[in-house]
Amino acid sequence: MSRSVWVILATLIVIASSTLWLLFSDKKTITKPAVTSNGDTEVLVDINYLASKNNSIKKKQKENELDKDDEFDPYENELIKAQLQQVGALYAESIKYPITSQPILSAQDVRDYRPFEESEVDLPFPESDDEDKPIRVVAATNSFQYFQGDVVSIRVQIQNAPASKFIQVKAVISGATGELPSQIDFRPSSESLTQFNAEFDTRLVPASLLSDEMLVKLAVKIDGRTLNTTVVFKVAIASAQIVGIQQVQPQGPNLVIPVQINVYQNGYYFMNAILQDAVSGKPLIQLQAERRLNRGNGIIELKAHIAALRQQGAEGPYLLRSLNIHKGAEENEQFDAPGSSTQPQFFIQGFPFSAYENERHVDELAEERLDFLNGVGGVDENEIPEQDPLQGAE
Amino acid sequence: MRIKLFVITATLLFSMGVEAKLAGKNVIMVHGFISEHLNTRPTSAEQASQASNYWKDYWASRSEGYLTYPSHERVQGRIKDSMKSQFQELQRNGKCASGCVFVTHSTGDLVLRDALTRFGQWGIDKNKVKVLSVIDLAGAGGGTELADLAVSTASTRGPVTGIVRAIAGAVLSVNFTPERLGVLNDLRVGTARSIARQNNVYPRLRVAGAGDQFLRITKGIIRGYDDSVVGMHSSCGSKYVGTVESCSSSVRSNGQIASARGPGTLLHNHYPIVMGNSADHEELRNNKKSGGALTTVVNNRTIGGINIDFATNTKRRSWSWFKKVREINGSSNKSVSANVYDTLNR
Repeated sequence: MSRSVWVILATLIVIASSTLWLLFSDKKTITKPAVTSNGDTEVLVDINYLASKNNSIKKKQKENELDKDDEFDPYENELIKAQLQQVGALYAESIKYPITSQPILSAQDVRDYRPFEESEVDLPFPESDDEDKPIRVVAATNSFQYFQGDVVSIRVQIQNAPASKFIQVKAVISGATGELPSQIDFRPSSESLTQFNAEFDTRLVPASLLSDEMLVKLAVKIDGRTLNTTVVFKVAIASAQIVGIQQVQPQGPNLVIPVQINVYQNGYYFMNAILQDAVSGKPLIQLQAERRLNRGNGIIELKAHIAALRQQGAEGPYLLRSLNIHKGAEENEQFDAPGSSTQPQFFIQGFPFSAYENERHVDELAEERLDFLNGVGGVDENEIPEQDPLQGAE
Repeated sequence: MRIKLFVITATLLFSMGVEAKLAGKNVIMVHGFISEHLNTRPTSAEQASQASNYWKDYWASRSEGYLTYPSHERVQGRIKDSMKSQFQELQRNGKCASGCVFVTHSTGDLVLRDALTRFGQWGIDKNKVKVLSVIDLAGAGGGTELADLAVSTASTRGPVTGIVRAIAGAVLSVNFTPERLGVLNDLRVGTARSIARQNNVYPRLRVAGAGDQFLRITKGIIRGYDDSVVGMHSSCGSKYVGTVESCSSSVRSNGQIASARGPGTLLHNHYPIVMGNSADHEELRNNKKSGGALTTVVNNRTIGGINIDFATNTKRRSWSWFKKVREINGSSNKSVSANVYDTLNR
């Protein structure tokens, strides 16, 4: 080959090598140490490389910001609407099941009242306007609703009582016809010097003196003062009595539980109960039903829906407990009339889920309510919220 | 021709006043306890006039009608009889055939809760009287300890201390005559909670306050926080009485994002939505600013796939020792009722 050909080839190789070097060296940080005039070392950085790198970073940031703008939050300044959306979500869950057959999500939701909890009255008795810890009288009956023939237990607790002061507690019981003739003397509890107990036996009182609503009128004598308070309780003659359960069987999507009732008063009756797993004791479903009944033998059907049973994963057997029944007050009547039950609970046979029809519960009126909630809780997701000019000013 | 145009325009303008609807639905109001009833024992017509007056500050112009009841009677007695005839009228006139929103204040919560359980008993067709939702302002459905105080004071022979009389008298405006206490008997905590216990199908949207109306004299009587008449154990819709200080266990009534004494269990379909730490019992229904911001019960959550972060509504406040506080933007610039109505109506 001639000399000129070698020169051309060498030039081409140098150009190619330089091009390749420029392409691949972009990924590397270009630094090299240099020695300055006073002997210090400095790291030199390629300005052009930095400039191009910064440009590409800025371009990426801009792209990210554009993406962020597209994902705006329509509820950003709409707390109440977001709250209503949550309500809608909760309500949507609730209406999957009939109101007569609601799954129990927590045992706490259906716990029975503790003794003395339901009727408790807790009041302070300050002696001066600025008294920090006044004496408090906490009074209660062990239940709220009684029937004729029951014994009412009454408890009185004195809080913040001055030390070593004699305390005396007395009461009279009154009803619609006035105060009963005899006074009730309380005895100190063995548990505490500031707790007092007494009983009122409804059997010892003529029925004519008992009324639907009764008052325990308490007088607490302490340190030269008499503190008065009252506790209300109810006494009734049962309007009906739950006596048993007839044959239980799946019908369509429901486990039908026919509850047998002796009806003493014609009227419109409301019943509710808890269906509980007989083995684990876990409360499963709140059941309720209502219908008009005539005096004599009556049946109210409680229906556990398959959707609720599936949700709880319980095929039985079950216990039916916490049964309540009452007759709704009719026109010119003053109070609802409670009924009673011969047993606190009844055993209920279980069935496999395959024995039920898998029918979805649909309640059109409930769907309308849900639509309303979603409507008032909705925002226009295409509307970019206006920036509050005062935002961030504080 | 010009006169005709003027008349038509004027008619249109006058008819375009504030709409008596909420989100396109008719609004029906249920008032709270009216103490004058205990002495005046008004007729139905007088009750209707007083009901209108009760809501005149804000809701009267935004509602289609009222349910009234005699406060000198009992909830399960003559009050329910009055409710029955009014719901029968609603069924007849079709005012709620397309759906109504009911708004209650205080005792109205308990009265309506009892009435709504009786539709089957009264033969009311739910397709003709559609109750879409109930907004309960300062709901007294769980009773109030002030009623325990009033009834006890009236019913006992012993001397009534000046302070006790001042509290019951000032707050409730009652005379101490036991047979003249009417619905106050039903507002006793134990009694109120024994009424209408069945699960109900209607969403009850609860608005609760913790403000002070009477120089804090009620604070030692009502358990937990209260709006000076009703405790939060009632207004939040708690199933059991307790020392409730917020409607949420993670947001305090003043909006602080911190653990709080909330209700352990709520009544079925009762949903607290708004709290006003400075809002007292009357400010929860009138058009007066409560003097403080409102907060909600909700925390950051996902709605429709969007992660909702209320960062812009959560600020650090000096009064809160610089802890985070969640506030409804602009809520302190208008009344509680206006906040609720304006939000739901747009």
